[in-house]
Amino acid sequence: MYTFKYILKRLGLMIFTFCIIMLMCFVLIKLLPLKIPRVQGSDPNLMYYQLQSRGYIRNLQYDSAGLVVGYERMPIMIQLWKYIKNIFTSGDFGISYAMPQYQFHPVWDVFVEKLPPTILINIYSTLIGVPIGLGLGILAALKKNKWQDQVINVIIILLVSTPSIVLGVMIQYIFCFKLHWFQIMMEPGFDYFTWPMFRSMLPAVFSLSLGAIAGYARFTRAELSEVLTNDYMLLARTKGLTRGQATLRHALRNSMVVIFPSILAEFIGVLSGSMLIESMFSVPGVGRLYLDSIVTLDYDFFMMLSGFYCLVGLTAGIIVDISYGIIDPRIRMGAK
Amino acid sequence: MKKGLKKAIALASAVAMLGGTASALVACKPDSTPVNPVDLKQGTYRAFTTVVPGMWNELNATDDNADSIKGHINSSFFTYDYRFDESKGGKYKADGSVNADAIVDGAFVVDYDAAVALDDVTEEYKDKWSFTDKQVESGGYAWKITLRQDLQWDDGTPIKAQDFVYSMEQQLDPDFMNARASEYYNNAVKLINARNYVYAGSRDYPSILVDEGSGNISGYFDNADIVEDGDGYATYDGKIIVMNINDGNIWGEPLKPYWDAYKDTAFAGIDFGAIVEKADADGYSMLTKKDIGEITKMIAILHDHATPEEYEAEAGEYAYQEWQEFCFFRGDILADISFDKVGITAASDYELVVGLAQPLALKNEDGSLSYNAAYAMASLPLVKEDLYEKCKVAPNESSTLWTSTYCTSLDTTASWGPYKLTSYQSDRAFTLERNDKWYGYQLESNKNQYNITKITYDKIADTNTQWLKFFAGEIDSKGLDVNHIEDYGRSVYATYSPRIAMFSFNLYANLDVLKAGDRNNGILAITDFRKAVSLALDRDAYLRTLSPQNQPCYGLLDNSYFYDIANSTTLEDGGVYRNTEQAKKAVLRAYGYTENEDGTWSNGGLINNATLDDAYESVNGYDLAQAKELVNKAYKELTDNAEKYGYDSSKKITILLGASEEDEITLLEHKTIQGIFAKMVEGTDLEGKIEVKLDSSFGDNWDSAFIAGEYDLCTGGVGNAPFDPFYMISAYLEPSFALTQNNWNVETETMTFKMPAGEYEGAGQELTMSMMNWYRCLNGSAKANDKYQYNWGSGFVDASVRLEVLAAMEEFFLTKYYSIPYASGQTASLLSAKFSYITKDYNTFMSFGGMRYMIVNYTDTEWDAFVKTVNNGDLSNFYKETV
Repeated sequence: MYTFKYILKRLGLMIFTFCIIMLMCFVLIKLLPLKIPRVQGSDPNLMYYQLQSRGYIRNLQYDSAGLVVGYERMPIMIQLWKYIKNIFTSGDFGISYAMPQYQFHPVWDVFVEKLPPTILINIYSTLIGVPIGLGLGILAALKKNKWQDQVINVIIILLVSTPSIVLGVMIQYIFCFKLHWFQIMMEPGFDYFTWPMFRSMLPAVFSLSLGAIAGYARFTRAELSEVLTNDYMLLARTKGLTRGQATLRHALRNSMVVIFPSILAEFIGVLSGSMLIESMFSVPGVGRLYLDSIVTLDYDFFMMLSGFYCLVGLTAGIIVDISYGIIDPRIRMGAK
Repeated sequence: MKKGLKKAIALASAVAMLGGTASALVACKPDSTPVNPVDLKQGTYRAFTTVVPGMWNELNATDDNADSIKGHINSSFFTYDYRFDESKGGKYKADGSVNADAIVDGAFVVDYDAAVALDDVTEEYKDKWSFTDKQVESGGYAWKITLRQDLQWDDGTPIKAQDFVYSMEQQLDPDFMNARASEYYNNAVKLINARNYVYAGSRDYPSILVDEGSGNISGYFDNADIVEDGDGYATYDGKIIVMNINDGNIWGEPLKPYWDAYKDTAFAGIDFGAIVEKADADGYSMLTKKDIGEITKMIAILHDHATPEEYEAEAGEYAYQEWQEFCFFRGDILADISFDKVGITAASDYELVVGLAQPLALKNEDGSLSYNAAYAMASLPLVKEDLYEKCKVAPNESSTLWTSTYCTSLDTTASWGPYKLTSYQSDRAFTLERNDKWYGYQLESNKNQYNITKITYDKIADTNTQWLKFFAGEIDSKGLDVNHIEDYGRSVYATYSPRIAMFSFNLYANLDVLKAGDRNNGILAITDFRKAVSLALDRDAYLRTLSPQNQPCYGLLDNSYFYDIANSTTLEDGGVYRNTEQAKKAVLRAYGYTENEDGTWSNGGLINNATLDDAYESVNGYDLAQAKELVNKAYKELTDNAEKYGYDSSKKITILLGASEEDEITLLEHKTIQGIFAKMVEGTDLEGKIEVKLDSSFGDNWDSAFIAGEYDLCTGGVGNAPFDPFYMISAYLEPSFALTQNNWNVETETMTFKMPAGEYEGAGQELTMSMMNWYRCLNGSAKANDKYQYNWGSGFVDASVRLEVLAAMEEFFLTKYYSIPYASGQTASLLSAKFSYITKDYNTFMSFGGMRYMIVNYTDTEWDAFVKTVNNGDLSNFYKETV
């Protein structure tokens, strides 16, 4: 019951926070000056009419030649009302206006089309990164200060201190270009679950997962090392458990209280895609969308993406908090 | 961008660049000359792009990236081709292959393509489009384009003349306000009533001082002739007099900004506010006699007189008539006109007739097609009617205008060009394959060309990935960048070509705005200072530092522009504007050279009594000594008139350099410009008193910010309308485009020039016109309210006349030093060994022959096998091979 109440309370807070963030995003992006492209020889009025039809400006002023010489920005609150109304009355998140690669495409459709590659790359990356990272971390913790630990530490330091973009360049050059193990870029198309497509995703997956492996390994080693030195571990051994049993049943589970939420948070976080890795391997994901929407002032895109990521972030916060209770029954939400 | 011309070039180059199979021609044309006697290889061309277009609808797509699809799926009425020397065997060798050795360097021909005939039918359509006798006599206002009868869409649906009429109706539909509609009323192809159709419902406001018949400024009327109508509004000759509070009309500047600034001081007691208040949404305010009196008072004050009476003592009766320069008559509302009135109609299923408001010379005197046919009239928009209708989206909450999803996906795309779209993944990749329904494969002029059967485009945004793909043999061309030019610049696979782009320093010089700012930089309004900046710019050194691939440039127009392209191969100067005596003189004068009595040139320094060519060769735009002199002169002017320039000697002068972002290149540019200014003022009275700062807070809006005076200096490029300098000069003039538009008023700033002798309207006369009207006359588009309306457009006067005017305009603008040219763009790229160009000699119209003439050295299978044999699939050293 406490947990249920706690979740309801968190959901309420989440909605409130979401509204505040979205309001801020909407107001801030609308405060930026409008971009009116200068095109030699064109009739700029046509551009103003388009902006007016979108409800961004109104009250156009003309000179005697009929050219628009001024306009009034539509009050932001009116635009906001229209935007919200469209979403709730017709499920319309708007149409891309300023981004040349999506002009006149419904922003939701574009986003839905581009999300799968990003999610897949990150799922594969997590599937590879988590077991290897945890395994290395556990091994290093168990072999603390021995040669295995030293070797793993060196690898971890190398991988942690090398940005994923550099790892990507190395993987692309060595494994794709020189050794021809993989394609230089991800295959085009929508058949995401075929072997050729999976194989073409692997360089991007490795580029993302190597850093994650190092991160998980370092984190696990640190947490597990600490737990292994606790008194209850000694107690576990003295009551007759083998080292493996004690480690698996007590040490690992306790260290997971900290590690698991970080895995979850990282997975959700990477839904926003990796701009550089996606660009390098031509992954048709969402990595650049957010930045492009800001640069080009594509309002509808920006708002939809802001809403999505905001929602994902806030939901992740709740899920992570709830996960503590699942991993460690001693933690009870909302209990006084 | 001049859309019409850009489109023409895009289509021309598309036809030149796209590929197709020659072997299939045999099957398609059983009753003609055997077309494929040689066994030519065919293959897939694999291109990359950094932006996959999202919309390639001809009616609406303004993004240049759309050309990568649009250019392949559309066709043109007329097209360019190489000229082949018959004495060397003509176009084809005995075996049927193209005879590259017979290509005449730099020459071109214009061929019929989707059209089979073109006729001037101005007289025939005299009544339909109300052409005057004079228009009929000069011709070029109505053209009949006879279409091929085998035009069809890729699904086999026939294409008829009516389809072009339907498409134009959609193009101009006011319910859509399509972005490219203005191509048919704002550019070279001005269809009759096109603008009126788009703007139906708006009111006409003729200027009251312009005679509607002649277009000349008429005399001022007597105020006593003004009569008040029943509502109390002032009328003349039965027409209500109005003022547009946002428009100064002939006077130049509107009164409202003055009113806003001085209503409580100089204009206290004047009731201009009532005029402002009753202005409609478009800014028009109907005047009463009282209003006219108030305006008259304001004008007197603006002339530094307390009252109109006082002003009358100086100006006479004009003091009471000057208000007329601001005003218009309230005309009729442009009725909703039917599309029948627009200058396009189908005379039959295969005869399309266009009526033009501005004539075009599309044929030469000998009846052959002029270069303009394939340039200005290469094509008209064409959409597939049934599909287009399905793609229409009615106004909704997202857009109160109609929109369309036509050409935004595979399903909404139809082709009538050499290729059809066969796959499309947004923002990732698309594929085009040979369109077997394309009429062009039947043409004799295309035989054994188009050997590329498939074109793939991959999005590759990352430069390093682009190089790896190229070195792995997976893409077929790659532009050379600064990091690779040393290794590959001399490769046998490298090609160099002009890039239609010219770069300049732009200086903000509107004193009112400069004074209102807090950067203490009124000195920018002094011409000598701006000239000093120009002379302090060592263009060679600047380019070596920032963009070594580009060439220094001293004029507004570089070598890509031709004043007489039709005769370029026979003219000594190649028809290139920059090579002409007039253009050279313009540059020499702008850079401080003077012409001696004997026709030689000196610059007061090392160059004395040099011939025109020698003097021109010596120009490098860099004269630090003269720059320093000018700085001192400008500083004296500044300090002597500190109040006028808003100069505060206790503060530093700040020049704010605007940029979109502060990346590595921009920071280097800033540092370099700082160095230029430091050298320029070193040892002058201005030393230590000026600084150059960088700002990027406006991001991509840096250009708008510069135009508004938020920045004082920016570097910018213009690149458009290849070949046509007479249009291109508008890049520096056009009030809604030019970066320096707020430095001056091109509608009122006049240039006086004595026209060359000859037999044309205005010949031998000394004319004074606004800069914009010079431009309009030069392009045959002088407006009804311009004082002079001459048609000196292409084909209507001798090219030399146009050249003289253009050079005068260039010099006029150069000596303003608002835009200081410094570079002309060049591109260098590597072409995969899988292909070769038919010639390595760049041709203005044909480039390197493009894909149309591209030779396939390896089929796809052969290429894959070949790549494996070279250094285990690494071609990076292979491409270093030099001549």
